[in-house]
Amino acid sequence: MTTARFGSAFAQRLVALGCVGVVLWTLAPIAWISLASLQTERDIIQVPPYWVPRAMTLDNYGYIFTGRIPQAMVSAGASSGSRISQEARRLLRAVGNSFIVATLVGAGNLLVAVPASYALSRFHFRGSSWYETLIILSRLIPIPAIAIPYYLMVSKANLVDTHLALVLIHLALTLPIVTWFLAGYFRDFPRSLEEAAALDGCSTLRIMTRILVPLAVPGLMASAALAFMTSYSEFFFALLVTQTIRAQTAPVILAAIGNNQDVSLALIAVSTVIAIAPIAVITLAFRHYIVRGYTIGVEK
Amino acid sequence: MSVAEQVTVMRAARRERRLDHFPYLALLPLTLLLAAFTFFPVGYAGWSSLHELLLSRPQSAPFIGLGNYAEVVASSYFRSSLVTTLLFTVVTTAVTLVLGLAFALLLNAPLRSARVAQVLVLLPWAIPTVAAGIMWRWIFNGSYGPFNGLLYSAGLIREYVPWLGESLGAQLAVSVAHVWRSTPLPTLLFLASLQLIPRELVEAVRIDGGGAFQALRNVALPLLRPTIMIVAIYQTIVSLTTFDLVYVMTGGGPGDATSLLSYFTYVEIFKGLNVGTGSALAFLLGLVSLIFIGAYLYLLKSESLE
Repeated sequence: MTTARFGSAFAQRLVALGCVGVVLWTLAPIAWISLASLQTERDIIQVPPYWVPRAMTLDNYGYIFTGRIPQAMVSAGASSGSRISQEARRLLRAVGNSFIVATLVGAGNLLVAVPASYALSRFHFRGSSWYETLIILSRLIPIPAIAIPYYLMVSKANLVDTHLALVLIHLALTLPIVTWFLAGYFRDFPRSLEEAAALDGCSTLRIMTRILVPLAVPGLMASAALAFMTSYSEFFFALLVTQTIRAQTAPVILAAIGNNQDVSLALIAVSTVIAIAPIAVITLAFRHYIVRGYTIGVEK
Repeated sequence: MSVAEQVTVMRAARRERRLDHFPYLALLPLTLLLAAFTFFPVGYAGWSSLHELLLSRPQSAPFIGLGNYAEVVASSYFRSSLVTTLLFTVVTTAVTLVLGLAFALLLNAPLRSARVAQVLVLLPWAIPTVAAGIMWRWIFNGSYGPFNGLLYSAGLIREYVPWLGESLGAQLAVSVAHVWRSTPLPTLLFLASLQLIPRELVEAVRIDGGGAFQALRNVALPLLRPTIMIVAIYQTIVSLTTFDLVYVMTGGGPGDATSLLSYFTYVEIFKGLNVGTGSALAFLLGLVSLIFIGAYLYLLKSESLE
């Protein structure tokens, strides 16, 4: 359905204007902090602000990547709001940690959820109907409530401050939804090929890996991407079970930089941009799969 | 029975046997993970909500029945936090639904600007909530925030206002940030549903002399109803359990103006070191979620009976 199709040229222009409005609302905060990341501290705190930057510099990025303190901060000395944060120097490693964890979570989701959802979609066995309801209901609990038992388990297993602890927790957070989604996705698949293969004596495992998986690549990509995104952004548990840069992820370091009262605004801006840039690029690159993944439930 | 037939029967029997095991084996890893990371923690939280469990002396945790629940419900903090959370949930869910629908209608237009917007509109949802919180905290900042700059340049205020330092200002700021971050997903879902509406239906309205508004009211909205319900339920749960934004933007303040129940639970456990009352709070919050879901399902059912 379209509103513009019927409309006059005027109505079309109105709709186009509306679309520009949507983009402005969406991009304004991101654009503002990106511009701030390219300015000096002094320019950032102008009242009223420079709507168009007076001068642009890459010095703030230089500090994150090379540790060289921006010239503007050196000359401003120790005056207010011009301070450096050690955390900012750890940001790149944190982004790296986020990538390691999120990639493993994406892959782990496929390894665990594909057989599970295939079983749920193809076989009726005792308890199969309430199993799906149960795994979805399990996600209703507020997160702080399960923090203490999570921490106890992780420390008992000697996994505090490791990637593995985060991978396991993020797997548990994402698997219910991914399994539920994939089970629905597999149900819509035609079964004739599988039945033919079964008649030829193919084992269920072979049918799954040789027939189902190649056909299901779009759904699998969507699942992996969703798990990746969730893991990359997850903050609470990452804060809970990490202590040092060995395992701290981008949101944890970003929150530490952002909540440091003494840290320079320019550094907060740069850190925010660096933390969101990779995930923004990945999301836009994989958007066809992701959109399809999320909308498949609506289309049924 | 010929040999070939026998072979077929044997193969079928072997397959039957394998089928018996396959689903259980395939579900084993998932079940183990969920048992460890969901069923056990939830059980633990349920147990601790019935015991006086303080992190300052974890050795003794006497059973106190519903004592924690009574303590939480009786506290004035809980009541103010509950009211704030309900208001926040209702307002942001409604705004997100309306904005998502409006965005989807605009973005569904066959225009180049709409196609570009369809891509960019995903961004707020893609980035970590912590980053979104930092951006919006910046925008509403009382000494360098561009929102103040805008009002100041327009001559609406004489000096910058510390929005995050005032109760209502902080509540609105967190709400705006939450709506900004939440709108992409409903937009996406509404867009997908809109694209499924048969063109003939819309054209029929058109032939009958109806305008775009009639098409929206009589064709699109009824067909979108299931999607609206899914989005409402999902968004309600997300709003009820909002934590990251509050942590980054306001720390629950000023005072307890933005202490949503989820943040309050965190404070009870990690600042008050009282796992018992914190867990009780969490279960109360879960109960509120269930009440909301029940209400939506009841609405959906009564509507489909009409």
